[in-house]
Parts: sequence; structure tokens; C-alpha cells
Amino acid sequence: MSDAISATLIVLGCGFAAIGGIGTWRFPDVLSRMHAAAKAPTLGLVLVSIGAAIRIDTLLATTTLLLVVILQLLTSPLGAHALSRATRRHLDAEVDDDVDELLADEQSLDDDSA
Amino acid sequence: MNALRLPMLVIWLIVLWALLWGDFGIDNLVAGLVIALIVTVIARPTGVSGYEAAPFRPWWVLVLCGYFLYLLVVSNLSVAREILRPRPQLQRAIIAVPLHAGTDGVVTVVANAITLTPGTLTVDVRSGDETTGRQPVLYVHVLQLDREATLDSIYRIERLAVRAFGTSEQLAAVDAALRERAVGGVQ
Repeated sequence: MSDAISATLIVLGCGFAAIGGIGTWRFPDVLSRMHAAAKAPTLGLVLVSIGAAIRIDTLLATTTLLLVVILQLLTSPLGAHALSRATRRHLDAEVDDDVDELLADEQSLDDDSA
Repeated sequence: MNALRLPMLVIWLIVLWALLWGDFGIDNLVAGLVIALIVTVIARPTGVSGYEAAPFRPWWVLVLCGYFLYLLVVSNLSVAREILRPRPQLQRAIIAVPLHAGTDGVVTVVANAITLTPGTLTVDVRSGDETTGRQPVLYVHVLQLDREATLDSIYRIERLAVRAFGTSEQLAAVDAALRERAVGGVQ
């Protein structure tokens, strides 16, 4: 029974990692791709870790995998921030989609700070 | 509550140490304690506004973590659906989201949570300044443009983050701002 649960979780986790990869390939620009790259593999890793912890079933494995999950949840957004921030600053033209109103809004906030 | 911050940090570092070694023996825990104390002295954050004064409420931290895990699952399902659609329906935009809570710590928590939750990604941040009353602003990239819904969900996270790490004055300020916002929405 626990084998079935852990197998299901691991396969699901791999599925999310794969979806993240597909999304990184399919989405149209850097920032949209970052959505796929930052979220899906994170949940994938969490699911695989839970599955592995159930399967291996020792305290040491469980605690190590717990650590993997916590550190992944803490650090994965940071990588995404760093990349998207660099993207926004250097490729402003690319992200000026169809939202003049919001961009104007953003500009006015920048003016406030000046 | 303020007094809890340092002990919690030290305990977390000891647990981290023990987990990395995979050894919860008493000698290893003592070694961890020594390392944790050295680390907390050497690696004191400098120049982070509100760090010293920031409270730490364990119960609300747990609630925040639970809500966050729930959002992580929901967000992945929605992004997965978008990815697997034959033609993704994306309406991309960057939204400026002014936050109400001043401290860098709360802004950090909110920014990280946003990145891992549905359809939103923190792109940039303008930090706040309590002396001039300047609000911190997050620049958030969204896949589905719905300004109000995005703001609502981000403010919900902010409120929880303030409950976990903010002062009661900050909580009152956030509540007041959100009430005003709710009234504005009705008109």
C-alpha cells in the first residue's frame, strides 16, 4: 500500500517537473516562461521527496528529504526573482505587452519616488 | 514576542545542522548549538529595516505555511492547465502592487510567496521607507490580467505575513487600508 502511494507521488512529481519543462518551451517570453520554470518543478520536487520518504522509510532519509523540501521552497523563488529582475531591466521592450494603463500606473508610482 | 526571535533562529539552525548530519545525538546537538551561536553573531543582518523590532508569532507562521502550501498546489494546477492547453490563453502584464507593511522582512515573505502562487511572479521591488512613509511596491508579472483579483490575493498573503512577522500597529494599518479598499470596490 505504501509502495503504491509513494509510486503515485513520485510519478506525479515527475509529471509536474515535465510540465514545467514543457511550459518553459511553450510560453512566449522570458517572464511567462519563468512562471513555468519556478513553480511546477518546485511542487514536483516536493512530491518526489514525499514519495521517496515514504518508500525509504528511515528517520535519516525523512529528515534529509524534509530539509531538501524546505530549502527548495525558500530558494526557488530567489532564482526566479534574480532572473526576472535582470530581464525586466534589460529587456523592457519585450515585456511591454498590451497594458498601457497599468504601465502608466507603474510610471506614476516611479514618479512619486523621484 | 520579540524575545522569541533569537531563540527560534538558534533552534532552527541547530535542527538544520542535525538534519544535515543526520545525527540527533546529544554531542552533535551541542556542536550545532555552538555553531548556531557563532553564526547568529557573525551573520547578523545589517541594514535590514525593522529586523530587530520584528515580532515572531509561531502560530501565525504555521498558518502562513499551510496557506502557502495550499496556494502552491492550486497555482501548479492552474499553470499546468495553461501549459497543456493547445493554445495558451495568456494575457500578460506587469502590475505595480503597493504594499502596506513597511518592513523588509514582510516584503520578502510576500515576494517569495507571490512567486510560488497562482499566475503571479515577483519581478522587481521598490523598498519602502518608514521615515518618509513611502510604501514598498512589488512589480508582479501576471499570466492572466485581472488586477483586482491579483491585488486581493496578494493582500491576503500580506495580511497573514504581517500577522506572523509584523507589529500590531502594522496589522492595524493593513486592516485599515484593506477596509478602505473594500469600500472603494463597492462604489
